[in-house]
Amino acid sequence: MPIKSFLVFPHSGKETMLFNTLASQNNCEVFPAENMSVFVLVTDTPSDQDDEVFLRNLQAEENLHHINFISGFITEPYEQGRV
Amino acid sequence: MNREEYNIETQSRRSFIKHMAAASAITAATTMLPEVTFAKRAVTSTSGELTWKKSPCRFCGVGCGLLIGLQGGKAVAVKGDPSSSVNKGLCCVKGYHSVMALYGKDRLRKPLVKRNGKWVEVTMQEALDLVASKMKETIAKSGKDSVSIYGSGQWTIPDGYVASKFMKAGIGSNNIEANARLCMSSAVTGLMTSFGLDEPMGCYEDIDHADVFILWGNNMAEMHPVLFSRLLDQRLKRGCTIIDLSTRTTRTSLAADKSILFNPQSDLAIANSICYELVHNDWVNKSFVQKHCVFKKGKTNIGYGLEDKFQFTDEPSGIDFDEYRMFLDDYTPSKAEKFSGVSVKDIIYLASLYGNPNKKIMSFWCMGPNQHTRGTWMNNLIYNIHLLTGKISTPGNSPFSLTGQPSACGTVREVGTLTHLLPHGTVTNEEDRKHAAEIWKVPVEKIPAKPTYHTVEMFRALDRGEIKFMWIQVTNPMVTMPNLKRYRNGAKKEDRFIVVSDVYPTPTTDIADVILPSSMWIEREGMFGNSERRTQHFEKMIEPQGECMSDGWQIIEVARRMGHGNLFPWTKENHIEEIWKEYSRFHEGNKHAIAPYEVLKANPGIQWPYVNGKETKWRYHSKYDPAAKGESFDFYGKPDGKAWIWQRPYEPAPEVPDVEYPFWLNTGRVLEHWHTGSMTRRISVLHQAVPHSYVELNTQDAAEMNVRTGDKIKLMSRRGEIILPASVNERGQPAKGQVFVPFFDESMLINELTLDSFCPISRQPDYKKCAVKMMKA
Repeated sequence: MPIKSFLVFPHSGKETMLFNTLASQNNCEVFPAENMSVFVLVTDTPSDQDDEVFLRNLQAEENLHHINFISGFITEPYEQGRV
Repeated sequence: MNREEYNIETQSRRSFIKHMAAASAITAATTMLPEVTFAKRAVTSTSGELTWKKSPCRFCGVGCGLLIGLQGGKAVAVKGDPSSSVNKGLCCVKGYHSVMALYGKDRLRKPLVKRNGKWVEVTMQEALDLVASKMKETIAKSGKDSVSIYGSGQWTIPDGYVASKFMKAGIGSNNIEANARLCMSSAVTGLMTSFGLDEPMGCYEDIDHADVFILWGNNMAEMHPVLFSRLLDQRLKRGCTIIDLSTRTTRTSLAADKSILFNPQSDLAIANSICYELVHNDWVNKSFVQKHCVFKKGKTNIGYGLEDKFQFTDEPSGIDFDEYRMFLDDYTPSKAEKFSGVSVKDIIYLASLYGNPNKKIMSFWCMGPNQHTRGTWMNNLIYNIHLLTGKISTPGNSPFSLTGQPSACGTVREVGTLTHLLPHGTVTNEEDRKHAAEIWKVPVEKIPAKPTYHTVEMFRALDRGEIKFMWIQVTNPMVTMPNLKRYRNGAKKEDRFIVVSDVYPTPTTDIADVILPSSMWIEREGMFGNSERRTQHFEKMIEPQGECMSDGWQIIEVARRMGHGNLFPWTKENHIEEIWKEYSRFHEGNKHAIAPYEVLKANPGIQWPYVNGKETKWRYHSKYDPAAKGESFDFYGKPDGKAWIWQRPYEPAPEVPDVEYPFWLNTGRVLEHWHTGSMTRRISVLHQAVPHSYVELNTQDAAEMNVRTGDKIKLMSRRGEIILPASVNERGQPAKGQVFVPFFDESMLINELTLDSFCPISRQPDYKKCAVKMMKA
């Protein structure tokens, strides 16, 4: 059940289309910048397989210029003991 | 936990992680695109219903300002504090995950007492009664110098103050040391011998002005990542030059404009050779040197502290410039090349950068020159370069020793939690003792005039039996002491009594007789002091877990049980503010005045000297420093206002590779783990990033031994042996004939191999050089 965040850069002039595409997807939240052509994308997918499919589809999106992976988290309990 | 509670807990965690993920991305965006803004909806969506409170980071000495997100009585999120001038909203991977260290599943929440070889849970009152009675009993039987406290640069300032007052004014013993002896005491003695006062003259703002950065044995990209990002940012904006001068290729080397590798210990020769070039190319700022410097030499062949009860006192004597110039003749670039392996061309290049009057220059260093058997000398030599060129105490011209711990400066150096120090001055100075006695309201005779044991010698005294009782707080010496086996065996001897205050089980709690669970960081109020003389306050934000209690209040409780309650006439509610008021009296005056409590509470950090409502960014120059007299520089730490340029030669390391042990061993840290890993290894994402230790090999050495990454290597020194997986051409690469091992992993204790030699002046051990051999296991 990975949670990841990305910076998403649309092609020039395609910001609205890419935002609408992402906003309509399940398993993610998208926050556009107010003054620049960049979005913060947070994905929350049920499994590693779903995560891979989501990313594959995103990378195939024609309005996408490029994405930067920022952070990734596993969601199993993080509290652990002595190792 | 029932299903509903589980779901709430799970949802809360998922929500927290999503906040963290989004906050990281927004921070990354603002770093890459400084003008970018996001709608409030985005920010609040990522922050939910959190309350945000300011705190310095719990980890390294950079002192990044954090904003801690609080929800439902827990710390659930972290973001960089944009109003902190240190990090300007950015954090490193440890900082972003820092609050997770509060919630490891084996957090110590109840006091434990060892009875018949087994741990038994007791109440905090019972445990404190036992600690007090055992301490009293030991003093009655073996004298006041048979008990000791060993603390930390992770003590808050009030905790360290309480510990110092308890030992020096209560017990009447100087048996107090702190782990900062292991990481920055050479920086202190370097500053004291060159300038007469501790702590740097410059500040992080120098980064915004300097044209050149020379990093002396300092892997800043991993150890001070946020500061290093400021260097990279300035290079992008202004085209600065970064030179990495190191014994090992690291991430810092790869990011630098130029990486220069040198042989271990030969930094002494390189620094002197740079001075030779400055003198012989007429790059010396003669008017600065004439007005503001004098030349000195000290003893040579000063030893390495390997024998018990080693003593050394330097004897400085004045020399003139001609004698100094003749001394430098032994360090022509071609001679230095033979010691160091650094080419003549590179030495001249380094000298030309320092010598260029149109370039502002910063030197950074940390454990490389400080954990060094000639650590004080190395510090002196870097100051020599800046003094000869007059590049000091002005914006962008700054020799700067970075610290490793969040309050090594604030607590250990400023409060003086070392055997020879007081909150102001030293125990050997009668006026300083009188000053302390007046503030502490004790007879001056109560404070002993003679220092006792520095850290290595304190653990030797524990082994020898002169010390019978040791109280260890906020540190993990059973991982960090060099030549570890001796000191672990000493601590485990029959009639020794060890108390350990900590937040998690460690190899140090393993050897304890009593374990006291400590409140951690924002579970209590406190202050830290970072590398640039900046004091940062944090309030209590969440309740301590179980019976956890702050380290300082544990000491107060024990002191009261031992009849020293009059020294600590405060309540649990007001003690931090009252301690700060009392402590401030030690630093009255323009040279070290510290900000009032209310000012600290209201700001992300304040630099001292804080005079007439203003911070001091640069010391020793009248344009910036209210204590400096005259029209320009005034090195007022010395009676004549002049800084000392020291004649310090190259001397070899005490143990060098030979036929039997042919490799140099260097030890250190990694980005993801805080020191011994007792906190960061409880954070899953950091643990999984670097789950265990390893030995880095040079690719050529690895090829000759037919070793690949992951192969098991048996590493042996004259003191011990361990087996670790090999790392070849991964994160870092040592030069040929050298290996590197990080020390964060308690299951692979590299300090069983290291040598307990130290700088005779600072008494700081050298963890960077000893001889080892290895074979495939």
